[in-house]
Amino acid sequence: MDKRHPSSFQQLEKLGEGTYATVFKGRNGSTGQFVALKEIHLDSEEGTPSTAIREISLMKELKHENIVSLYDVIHTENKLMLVFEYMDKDLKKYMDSYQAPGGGPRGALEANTIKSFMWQLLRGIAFCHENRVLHRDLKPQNLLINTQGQLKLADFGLARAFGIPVNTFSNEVVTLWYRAPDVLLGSRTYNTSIDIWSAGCIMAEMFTGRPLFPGTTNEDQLQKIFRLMGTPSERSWPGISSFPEYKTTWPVYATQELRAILPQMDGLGLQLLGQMLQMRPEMRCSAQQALNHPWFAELNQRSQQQAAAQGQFAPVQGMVAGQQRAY
Amino acid sequence: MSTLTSSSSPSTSPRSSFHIQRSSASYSAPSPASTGPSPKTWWPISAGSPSPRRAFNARSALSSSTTSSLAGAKAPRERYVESSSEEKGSRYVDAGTQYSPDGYPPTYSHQGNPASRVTVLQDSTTTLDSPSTSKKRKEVDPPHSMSTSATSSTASSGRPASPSEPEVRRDPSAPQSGVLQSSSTGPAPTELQEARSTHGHSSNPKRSKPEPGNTKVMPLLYQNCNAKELGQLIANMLMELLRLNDRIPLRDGRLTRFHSRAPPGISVSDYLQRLIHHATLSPPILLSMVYYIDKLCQVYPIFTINSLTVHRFLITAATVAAKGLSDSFWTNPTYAKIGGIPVTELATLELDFLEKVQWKIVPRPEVLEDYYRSLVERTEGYMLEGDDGDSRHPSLEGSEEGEKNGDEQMTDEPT
Repeated sequence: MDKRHPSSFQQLEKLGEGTYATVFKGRNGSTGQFVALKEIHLDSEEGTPSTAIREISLMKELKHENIVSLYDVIHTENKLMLVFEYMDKDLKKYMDSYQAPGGGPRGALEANTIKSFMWQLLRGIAFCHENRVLHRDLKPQNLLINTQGQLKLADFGLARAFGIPVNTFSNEVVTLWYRAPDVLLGSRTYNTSIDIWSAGCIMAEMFTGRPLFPGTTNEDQLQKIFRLMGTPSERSWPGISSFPEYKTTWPVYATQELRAILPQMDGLGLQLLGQMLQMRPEMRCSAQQALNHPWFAELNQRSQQQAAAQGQFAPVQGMVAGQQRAY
Repeated sequence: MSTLTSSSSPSTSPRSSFHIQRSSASYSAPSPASTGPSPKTWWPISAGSPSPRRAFNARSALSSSTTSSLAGAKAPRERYVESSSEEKGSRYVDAGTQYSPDGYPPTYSHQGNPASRVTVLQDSTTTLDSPSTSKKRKEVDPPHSMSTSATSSTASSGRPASPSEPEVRRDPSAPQSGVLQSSSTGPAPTELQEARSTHGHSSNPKRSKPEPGNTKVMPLLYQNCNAKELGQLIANMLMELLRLNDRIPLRDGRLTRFHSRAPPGISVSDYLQRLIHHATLSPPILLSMVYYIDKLCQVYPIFTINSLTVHRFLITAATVAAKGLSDSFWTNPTYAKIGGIPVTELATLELDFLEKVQWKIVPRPEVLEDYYRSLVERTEGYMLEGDDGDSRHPSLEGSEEGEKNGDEQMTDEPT
């Protein structure tokens, strides 16, 4: 393919190990720039792992400031090395190491930081969705933060393009705690709204420092959701009884106010969270709608001013601008 | 070189003037043609033999389908043995890859000694290569300048070996009319140019309006169409590509990893139907594979779809499309068995393909719609639903059922 060689990167410490890859910090020998090197072992039996095919094919097209950049793919004899933009830590580690100056629970972030992270997260999600890609594994570990306070979506190994009607959707997607109720109920026709549910869970977690729905099993996860959102019924969710995992034996919980468990959130924030954490997928707001919510008014205004200041030189983001289809 | 224009199987007879002659560049003699006398001995799958690893992605539900596809391949293997003895002499053709390692001439071939041949036979998961003796090998390894007409006349006298999958395919019993003869009756391109696109809108439109009685109505949305019918449309289009591209003689240095030594003895149509059936390829995956033809030709100038490349291209494209675009897909060993190539070769082809197209394998949905419409409209005897009222296609049900079966058989991607 080309003559680039892994040896042009100095391999530094290990950053993490995933199911199909190991990630190292690296340094570009010629520029000195730090990178993240994701090494994928190639097995002649398995061929190229499907996770690698998806991650590379999707990230090659998704260029956005809130999505981690894939610089290069280097193929050596028995491995693929993906060269990514270097980010300092993931949101999970960021929260774990954070202690608000004024006290409060460890891991809980400050309101302004949360707003900025949520805005960036939703911008990244909106860009994926506009380009007909579902991330399907949004969680704090997959959101990377750098020292400038930028947040970027990473790990597209479970992502898929949804524009093409390949109609078999796996329901084993998204880490349990961030998995939408329709997916937990066995839906295989989910869409962009599953990423919005995950974003809502992440938003609440940033306020409290603890996962919102830390279930242990599929069933337990549903119960934890019902305890807050209320047990759904045919009346509150027409058609729910036709989901594969629907049970008539669910304990009946009443809907709680989000305010009760998130007293630290302001009214507008609670309103936005409520629009993201809707049980019925069709009731959840889209990423773009969430971005337009008044909670982000200040950030949107600032971003517009910046764009105006840059005039027509504002970067045009988007792989198929003007080709987007409404979903 | 021959094509399957006079096959007894209806699915292999091109019924239209779907004719692709948009040539993107004027490569004077770019495309590989025949490597020699080509009795069509397809050595399919060798999948019938016990192989150490045949696990699918995961679940036990798969095992039933495994056995069925393996059982299907068993018979052909035996048949292969029969036909090989029948056709002892000059019949044998090596359908293994022509690709030579770096540093070897393109015509390089392994002249395996008898012992190694035995090994190959036993480990039949790795044999698309046929166990010809070195003498026979020589016969099928002629200079590439051999004229195509000589090839096709030889080929037309040859009886093909039996196909591998009785349950899916009909015997391509008479696929051998020489391409030159048959194409002389058809519209001929003005010069020997490669057909490098599946799509040429500059080419002949449908000759006439289809007669109402014989017209097959395809659903408006490709996701609703029957995969096997779509497979026929694609096979027809591929046949047109082969007819054009096979006329261009092979030149050294223009070999790709996709080249077989000789055209495998299974027609494109039968091969594609085999993949559709056993690899449960859905319409979006099939159309993506067609899209990949154009994509690969565009970025890889020495590649063309012809009788030597089409099979390896198809199994590679199917593997990549399913793994990259769908949540349910088989493992590489399964695709390799279905496609009749060694799993190590599939791994190489897969990565070669991905790198050639720079990993850009996600087609835009509108593009697939265009391909579908174009395939239907340009094939005689087919029309899109709604072009004459609103008749629902009778095979719709079957398609849905097939989809469902596919669902059950295949595993979900593990999280």
